[in-house]
Parts: sequence; C-alpha cells; structure tokens
Amino acid sequence: MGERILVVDDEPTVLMFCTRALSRMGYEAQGASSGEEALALLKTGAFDVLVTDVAMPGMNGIELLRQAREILPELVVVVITGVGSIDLAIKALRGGAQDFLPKPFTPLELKSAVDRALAQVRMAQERARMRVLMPLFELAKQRLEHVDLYEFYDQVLTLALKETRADSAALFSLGDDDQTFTKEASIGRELSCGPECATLIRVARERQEAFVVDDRVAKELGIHEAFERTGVEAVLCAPLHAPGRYVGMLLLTKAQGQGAFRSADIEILTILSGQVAGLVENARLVAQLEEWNRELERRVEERTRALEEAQQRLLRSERLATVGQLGASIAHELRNPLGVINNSVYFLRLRLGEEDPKITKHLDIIEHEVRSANKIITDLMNFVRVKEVEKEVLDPNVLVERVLNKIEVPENIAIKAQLDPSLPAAPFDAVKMEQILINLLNNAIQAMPQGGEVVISTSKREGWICFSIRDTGEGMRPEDLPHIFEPLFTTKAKGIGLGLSIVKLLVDAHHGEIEVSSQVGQGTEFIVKIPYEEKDLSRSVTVHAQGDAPSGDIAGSG
Amino acid sequence: MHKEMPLPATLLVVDDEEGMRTTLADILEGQFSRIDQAANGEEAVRKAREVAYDLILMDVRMPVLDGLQALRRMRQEAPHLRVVLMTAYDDRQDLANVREEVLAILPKPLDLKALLALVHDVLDEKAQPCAEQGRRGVGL
Repeated sequence: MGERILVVDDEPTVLMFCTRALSRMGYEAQGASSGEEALALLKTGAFDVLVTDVAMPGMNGIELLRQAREILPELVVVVITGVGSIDLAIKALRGGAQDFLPKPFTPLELKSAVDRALAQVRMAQERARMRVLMPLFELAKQRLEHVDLYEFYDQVLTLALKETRADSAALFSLGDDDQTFTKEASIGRELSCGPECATLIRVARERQEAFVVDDRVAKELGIHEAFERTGVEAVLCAPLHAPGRYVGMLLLTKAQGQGAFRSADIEILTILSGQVAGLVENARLVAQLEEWNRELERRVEERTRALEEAQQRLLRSERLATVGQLGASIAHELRNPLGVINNSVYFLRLRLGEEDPKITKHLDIIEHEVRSANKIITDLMNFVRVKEVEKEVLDPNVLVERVLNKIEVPENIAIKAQLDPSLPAAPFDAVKMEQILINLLNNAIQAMPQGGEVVISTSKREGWICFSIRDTGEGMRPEDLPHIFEPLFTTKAKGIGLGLSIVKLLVDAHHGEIEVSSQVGQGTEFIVKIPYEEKDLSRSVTVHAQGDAPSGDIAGSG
Repeated sequence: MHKEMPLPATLLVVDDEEGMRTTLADILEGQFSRIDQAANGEEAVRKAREVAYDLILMDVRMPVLDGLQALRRMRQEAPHLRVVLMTAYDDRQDLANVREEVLAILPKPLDLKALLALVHDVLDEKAQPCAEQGRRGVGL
C-alpha cells in the first residue's frame, strides 16, 4: 500500500513541489502550511512519514517533531533544512528525526530521503512484527499441549495494545447461531456488546480485512454518537476468519487525542487476527464438543441412575416377593392345623356344648383365637398378591373417613382429621389406598406407646393429591430413614417389618410417591402423594353430576 | 335331622392330614352309615373301586396322587360319582377346569355349616331317588 506522507512547509511553492512529486512517485501525500495544522492532521489521519521544514513561523519543525512523537511515537520524520539552519537540523536529528534534506533538493533527492526513512519504518515494523510473532510462536507451541485460551487472548490483546498504542482492545466471538456474539476478552476501556459493536462485527464480516473506523466512517455507519459519548477517536477492526467460517472480530480503540491508526497497526492486527481466528474457532468447536460430551455424560448418568433405581426397585420387590412367598407358605402351612382345630371345636361343641357353660366359653375362646390367627394369615396372603390396580373415582376424604371408622385407636391417642373440602374426586384403588392409610395410621399409633396425637390431613398440590399422617411419637433416627421401606426392616420389638414396605409397594402401584420426615423425640410425618390428571378431574365432575360416586355427599358438604 | 338315624349312605374322606380326616369323619358320623378314610389320591381311587360311595370329600393337594388326578381316574370308572373338593388354593387355574365336574369346591379353612348343608342336600337327593340325576352345584 502507498505510505501516507505529511509534508509541512510554510512556503507554498515548496509544499506544492513536494506533495506533487511524492504523489507522482506513488505515495499518498498531504500538505500542511504550519506546525499547528500539521499536528491537527496527525491527530486524525494515519501517517507514516512526516517531512517538515525546520524553520517556520509559529511552531517550528523541532517543536512539531517533539509533539508529533507524542502522538505517533513511531512516526518517521525527515526534516528539510535551509542553508542557515544546519544547527536546527542537528537538533532535529537529536530530537529523533530519521533523516534531513538540505534545500534546495531535487525530486530524486526527496524520494531517496523518504525511501531511506521508509526503509527505517519497515525495519521498525519488521521488528514489531517479530515482537508480535515471537510470543505467538511460543504460545502456538503451548497450544499443542494445553493452552489456557483466555490467557492466550489476554496476551494477544496486550500485544496488540502495546504495538498499536491503542487504549483498549477486545476480542469478540460469534456464536453457533452466527448471530449472537460474545466478548471473550478485553483490556482497557469497558466495551459493551451493544448495537455499535454488532454493526462493526457485521461490517468486518463483509470487508474480510482489517479496517479503520474514524469519525467520517463512524458517521457513515451511524455509530459516531457512541464515539462521541465514549470519547473514542478511532477504531481498528480485524475480522477473524477461520477456514470456512467467520468466527469473530478483534477490535482496538484509540481515545480522542491519541492520534490515528497507522498502516503498520493495521498490519499488526491483521497478523494477530490470523493467529487468533483458528484458535477462536477451535475453542468454539471444543466448547461444542465439551457441551456434547457433557450432554452425553448427563444422559449416561441419568440412564445409569434410572437403571440403578430400577434395579433397586427390582431387588426390593424381589426381596419382598421372596419374603412374601416364604410368609405365605408358612401361613398356608398354619392354615391346615388351624382348620383341624376348628373342626375339633365344632365337634366338641356338638357333643359337649350344652353341658357346661365353662366348656362353651372355652370353646368360644378357641374359636375366636383360631379366627384371629386365620385373619393374620389372610392379611399376609393378601399382601403378597400384588395384583393390578383397580381404580375407581373416589373422594379422597371419604377414603380417609372410611379408614378412620375401621381402625382401633387406643384411649391415650387422639386422631384428628384435617380434610381439605375442595379436593377433587380422583381415581384410586380403594382397597389399596385404605391399606396404605391403615398401615401408616397403625405405624403412627405404635410410635406413641405413651399416647399422643395423630393428624391425618388431605391436600392438593400441583397434580398431586396428598395424604399426610403426622404423629407426636418417638420419631425415627436419621440413619434408619433410608431403610424404612425395605421389607423386613423394623425398629419395633413387635412386627415382622412388612407394613411400610407394603405401603411403598402400594403407593408405587398408584404411580405415587411417599415422603417421610422424622425427628427423634418429635414425631414423624408421612406424606403419600397420588398423581391425578385434569382429565381425571373432568371425569370425576361428570360422576358428581350423575351422583353415583361415593364422593357426592362430601363434595356437597364442602 | 339325619343325626339320630343315619341313612344307609357312604362317605369317603380323603386328606393327607390325619387330623382333618378324623375331625371331618367325627363331625359327619351321624349323617352316614359308613365313613371311610384315605390319606392320598391313590388310596382313594382304590377304595372308590371297591365301594360305590354316595359322596367323596377330597383335598386337592396331597402326596402320591393329588385330588385332581384322583378325580380324573375315578370319573373314568364311575362317571356319576359325587365329589366335593377342598382346597386352600382357591385361585388355582386347574380348579376352574373341573368346577363343572364336581358338586362343589370348598375353600379351606372349611365353613363347616356350608359343608353340612351340602351333605344334607346330597342325602336328601338320595332319599328321593326320582329327583333328576345330573344335579350339580348345590349350596355354593
């Protein structure tokens, strides 16, 4: 590209001569007739070379050189000296000018001075490029092993900032959707991912190469207000192109008064963007891969957990089945002797019944005991028979009332029912639900040998009908809680430990859930949750209307 | 009513439990003129070959030959035999298959009143020989 050269001379003829000559030689030359004008131009335009007269009214060349260096430290400066100003030329060289050109000079002499100066510029750029590339090379080596991406981004941005003297740098990456973008890293001023940024990202994609946005371009793009608001003088953007994809953008800003970006800056950012693009894309792909991996792991975990739970359930039900079968066969074996005893009693009653009231009484006792033994056996055998759930639409509160009528409550225990009258009727297996509630109530009663209170309540929660049984009994130890639903697990002196496991089995048969919370010395609460669906409700409403459900009276009384 | 003067009726009680056999025999002794016992199906088949029992009261689950197998063999030789089965497994599928072939299937533990009602029906029928022959499903 043609280097930009700023020529400064207070003599219009010299100025004209120089700019024309340089333009003819293929440079982009601009003129200024005073030091002040030159400084103003240097602040806004990206110049590579300054050719200035030393002796000028107002700001002289030496002062211009000093101030220009502040704005653009790497500006190449060639001073033009008159016959009587050799001392000034020496001062200029001491002040950092690269070369001097004594008047009068031919266009060729001008060209060779500028070329010499530019050679120095290129060397400086080459050095800068090396400075940029060396650390990148080091990083690239690390990348083969494991590189902290964000540390790499930070290093790239730091380099860019240092080499271009920008006041802030940022790296944006484009999301998988090609629309959203994220600020991956930034240093310097706080840059937001606002609409101005979106505009720059769009333009960078279209241009496909680094570009400077100065005040003029900012106006064209409609983002100059943001420039003014944030005190930005110019922005340098470089698109990040990975093979086959636009992945993001590098962005540098300069604050007002910091001067413009030079072609060398563009070059440096272009180099950096080339290095970064691949990494950004890799990072995106890696992140995507990691996300897939996480998703896969999550699914595997989920599946594993489901399998483990299923296995646990199977073990539980197998164990229960074994226990049940054993229990049932023992119970069954007991049936025959009980049957024989029963027959004998019958026979004895036929023969002796009338003779002595005491004999009758004892025959009654034997018969009664045989009957209660048979009842235990029948209960046990019914437990084992896990049949299909036979659902009917019932008012949950009616269920509770039925159960309360059935159970025997010791005198030192009070049972309170807190029934939500607004509960809908829902499909339950009445026999199994009653069994669940009876077992839990008996459990609560047995937990309070010294007496106490049981509260049985019903409620409705998001898709569930809940039955809660809360006692003020002994409570259970935390280490026992995970086992209470296992068959044969019991903390009681009496009982074989089937009650709660049967409850769990029956709740499972309803696709329900059971929760327990307990504190030693405080009491225990079981909550049985049975799912219901809206369609169940609408059905139950129909049943209500027909008046043939047992729930009708309760719904009316609620 | 049959207690005082048993009709010349015969009963075979088949059960592997001696207690069950004995108590049933004692309870029913007033109803029959002869009550025999058998401890398994094989013994029952043999005895039924020798005596034409008016009623056979037979357990289903027994060693050697069970009640259902014994029933099948007895039927081959005496198709009109009156049999009442007793079982503690009332939901067995193979029981459903013979329901039509027997007078009744009584679940254990036995309801003795029901058993006695059944026995009375059988004896009444025997006392009125004109009554139709193929009557089934009495009582239960």
